[in-house]
Amino acid sequence: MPGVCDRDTVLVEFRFKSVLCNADAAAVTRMVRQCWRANLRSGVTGEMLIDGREVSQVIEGEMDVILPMVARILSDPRHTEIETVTLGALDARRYCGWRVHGLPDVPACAADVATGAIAHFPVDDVVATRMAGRRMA
Amino acid sequence: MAERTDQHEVSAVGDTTLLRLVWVSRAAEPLSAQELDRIEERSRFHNEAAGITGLLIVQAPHFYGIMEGPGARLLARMEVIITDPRHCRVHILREEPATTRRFVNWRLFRLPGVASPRPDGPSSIDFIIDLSHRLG
Repeated sequence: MPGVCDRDTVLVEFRFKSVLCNADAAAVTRMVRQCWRANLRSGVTGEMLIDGREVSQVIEGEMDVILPMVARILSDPRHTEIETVTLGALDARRYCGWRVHGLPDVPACAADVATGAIAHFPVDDVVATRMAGRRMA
Repeated sequence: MAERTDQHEVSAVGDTTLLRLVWVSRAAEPLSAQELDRIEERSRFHNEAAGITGLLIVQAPHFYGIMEGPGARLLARMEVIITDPRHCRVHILREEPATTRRFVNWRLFRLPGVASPRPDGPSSIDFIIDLSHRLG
């Protein structure tokens, strides 16, 4: 059992995998944009790996922020077949920002490019390994 | 058990009806890490055997559970929890038929306890209440 901590300093991470019910590029881009805004606003860091309809995601941040976010994710109809991997305390953040890998190739609007909300990061071996344990087809 | 009069009459729910339960409880006594390991191992075994998915969050002294699975088996598991002396004040926040599963697995997660929760701040119980409403 993790130790008792002061609420303000409790960092937690949530890792999960899911299958998107709608994986067309526009829907995924919309979801990524919403995630980016919500995460930036609330100081959540982590990453998302998109592979067709399959998504692997890590979010980390203060417990008071992450738990409501977990409730929204678990009840979000865009996610199906949710496989929870980790929900627990962290000593320190492992990410310094928020990145999405494997975003479908769609033209991002100028605002997205300027803010970095929609940026294309490649899925390389390092990312694939970090998000290890992806569900096999 | 010749007669059953509780609201969770097992025979009234077909085993193929997919049900979802959201519940909370308190630990009757503080649980050691070893006891939690044991609960995790046995729960995982029984839930996998019964086709029950979802999650159990332990944040001492609270338990927050979401379970979904075939009706009769799910209610049988819930009855085990309700009658388990390690749990007290078991409250079922939501019990409803589900058209599809949300979860493909079952896991137990441990969250740190909170030494001095702010009276006006969010508490972890809000998480499960919020989730219970959202899943509805």
